[in-house]
Amino acid sequence: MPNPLEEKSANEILREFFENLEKLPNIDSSVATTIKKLWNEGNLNRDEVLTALELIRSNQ
Amino acid sequence: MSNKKISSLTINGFRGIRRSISFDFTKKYASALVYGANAKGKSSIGDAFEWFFTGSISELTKEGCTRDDYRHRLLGSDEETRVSFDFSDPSLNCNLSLNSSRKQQYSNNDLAFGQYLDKSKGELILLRHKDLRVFVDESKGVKRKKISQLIGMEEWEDIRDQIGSVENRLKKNLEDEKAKLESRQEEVRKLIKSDVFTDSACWEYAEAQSKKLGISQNINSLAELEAVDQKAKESIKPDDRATRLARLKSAETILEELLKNYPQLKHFLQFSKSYNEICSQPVKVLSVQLHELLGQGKIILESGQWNKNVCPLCESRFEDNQLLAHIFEHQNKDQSIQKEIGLFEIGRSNAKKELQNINSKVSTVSQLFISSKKDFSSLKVLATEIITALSIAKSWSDEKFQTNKTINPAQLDLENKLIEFGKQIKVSLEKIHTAQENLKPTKDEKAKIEAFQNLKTLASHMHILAGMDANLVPLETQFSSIEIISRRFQDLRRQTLGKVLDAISDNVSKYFLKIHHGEGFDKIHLKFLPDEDGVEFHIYYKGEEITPPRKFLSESYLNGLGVCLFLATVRAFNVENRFIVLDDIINSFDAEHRMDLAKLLVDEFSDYQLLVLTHDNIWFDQFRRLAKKGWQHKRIKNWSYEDGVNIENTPGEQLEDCQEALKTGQVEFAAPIIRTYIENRLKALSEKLGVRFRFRQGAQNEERMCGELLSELRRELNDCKFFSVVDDKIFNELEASTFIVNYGSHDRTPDVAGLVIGDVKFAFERIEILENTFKCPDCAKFVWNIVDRGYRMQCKCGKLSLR
Repeated sequence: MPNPLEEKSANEILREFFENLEKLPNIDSSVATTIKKLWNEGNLNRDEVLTALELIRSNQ
Repeated sequence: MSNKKISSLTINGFRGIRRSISFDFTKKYASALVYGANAKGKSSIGDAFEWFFTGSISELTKEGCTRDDYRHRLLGSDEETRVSFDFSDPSLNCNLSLNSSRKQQYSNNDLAFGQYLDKSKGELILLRHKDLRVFVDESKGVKRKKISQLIGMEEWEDIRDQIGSVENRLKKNLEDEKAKLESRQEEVRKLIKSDVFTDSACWEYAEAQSKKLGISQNINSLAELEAVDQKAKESIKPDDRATRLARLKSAETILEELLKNYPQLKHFLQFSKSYNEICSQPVKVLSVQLHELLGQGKIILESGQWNKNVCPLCESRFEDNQLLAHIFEHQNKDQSIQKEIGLFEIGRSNAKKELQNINSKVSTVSQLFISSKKDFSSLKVLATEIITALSIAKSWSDEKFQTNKTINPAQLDLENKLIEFGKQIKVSLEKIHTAQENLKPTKDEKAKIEAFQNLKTLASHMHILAGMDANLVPLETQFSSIEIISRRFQDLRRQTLGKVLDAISDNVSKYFLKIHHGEGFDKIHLKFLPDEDGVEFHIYYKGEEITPPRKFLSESYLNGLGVCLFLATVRAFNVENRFIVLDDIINSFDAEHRMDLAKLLVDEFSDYQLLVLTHDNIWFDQFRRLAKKGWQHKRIKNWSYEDGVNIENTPGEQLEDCQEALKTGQVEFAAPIIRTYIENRLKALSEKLGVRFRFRQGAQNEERMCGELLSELRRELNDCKFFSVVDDKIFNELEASTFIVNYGSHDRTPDVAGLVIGDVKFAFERIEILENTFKCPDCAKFVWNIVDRGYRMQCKCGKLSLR
């Protein structure tokens, strides 16, 4: 049993999670897109997320 | 998955290893069991692994240690420390060297080797005794962190923290906004006098208020409310009644306040009296002036800036000390006058404060807004007169003493003016009250004003509430989405960690129960504890769940748990490497579990390459009996500062060495190698045949030599009448090889004087003949093939037997 996570590595599981954020039930698509984008850019931190969400609210 | 194994390891000039030592794993011996007593350089082998795979040795990164300590102390400046590994994948073969300038470098610069080394750094390769319980003893949080690192989940920790932090902030923002909204709704509820706040109650109230203003319209929305509010504004004619009422109210408040704390003239009159009295006494006035003058002189002298020994007043020459003493004498001459002046100055200060207070209060009437000149004109004129008089009084209060000077407060007539001012305030207040009465609205007007105000206030509230609602909706949506992401992520993290922990737990449990079978343990489980965000062992013992293990397990069992966890982790996470080093892990294992541990390693890790180092000769013996196929057994014979570690080869290697030595034809070279080989074979034979020897302590037992071994073996065989079936001439031939039996100690080169290579070869061949004596000619099996209770032994067919 070489890989306790079997078919996927921890990184692959993580990537899959963020790729499919928009598919989560009852989730706002603009929030999902923002989080996914920040993760892809390596900027998923508190300040970046809060700023991005505030920007979305102010544009609504 | 890669399965890299080691083909050979060579260590040279490293730590306690002076001369080169090698382990060859290319033949049938994939694993090695190495015995070495304490302080024989055994740990240097483990250190070599750590250095090669991590670039440093953790124990030597502490204070006071440098890379110099990796080198053997007797290495010359031109010699390098070197650890060389050959692998099953030859492209990774590499040596790590360190020169006397502390320059450390890998010989293999290929990208593939660099990647292999990086990946290997994340794998568990070496377990030392001191590290056995490190993980077991860690806190739950650290355990979780370490497991996360092993499976590449470090980033997950950060993501969880960041998303959690965003969630908390949005939650706080949402709560704050909701609290503000509710607070405003509560204000509206009170305004509309309803039990609860509802939009319909608000619209109903708005309709009722607009009706009072003569506007009849249904209101069901904020837009309709604002339209009605606009109509109401237009229906009410602007007039200055409210403005006038407000001004009157302000004037009333000012005057009532002034009357309540009406100023008195007292301290100034007292000051004037005291001043006039002092000035009427010339001696007192002069005394005060002299006192002031001497005080100035004293300040000048004490500053040290004046010419030395010169009086600052008259410029006569005097000693400074005398001058100061003179001043001191004068200043203290008339204490009663000084006391009187002191009290007077306090009175002067009080008088000044009093004048300032009166000025401030009288001036407040200037704030009165006078709509017609006659309203407050007398009051204002009087105030101006008082302020002028106060200004003169204030200048008097600053006067210095002058002989026969007088102050006459009666000239200012301040007392009477203040009395008249008070009367005028009362008259003005009466006028204000009359005017207020005249401006009061009618009952109908009052109702309309109130309705207008209510409608206006409600419209303002509802407008703000609508804005708040508009802000709240997207915030709620975002919070809800972040909450979903956060929960889902935590679930995923829990599941992923859980999978890993379950997998490790299965093996930890399996290994632990193999060592501690039949002792009541049901299983061991590593659990993720979400509430504490940690990981902890749970021991199931006779149906009871116990955690943490230190509550229940002894030192020895905790060590066992540490070994099992290491092995299970290796099995779960090592991807690159199929080898591990276990350095003296048997310490503090109790005797009854040692064999089980050896069995576990042999049975469960036959697919791995193991390098097991131990200082325990009993365990070594137990282990080597179990670890036969694929294992080589080595002993560190001795260690010296000058030469380092000296390892005894395996029987196969020894045989090859003998054959090579005989080929050289050099008797000095071959004799000691053959002698050692024969000695080892005799020991092995004695062990297999169960030969009884006189008891000796520890290492002395190992130092038995050929002469004694041959003699005891012969005696044992005689005792069990073996020579009635087998010829004993081979013993005679071996004993005739004097170079074998006649030498002093193990490490002394045998006396080769008169010896020829043929004698050495003869002895070498005899040892094989001796061994074959115990092989049955019929079934070709040795006499120790079948052993009955460790006593009676026989070959397979039973024709050859012993005892």
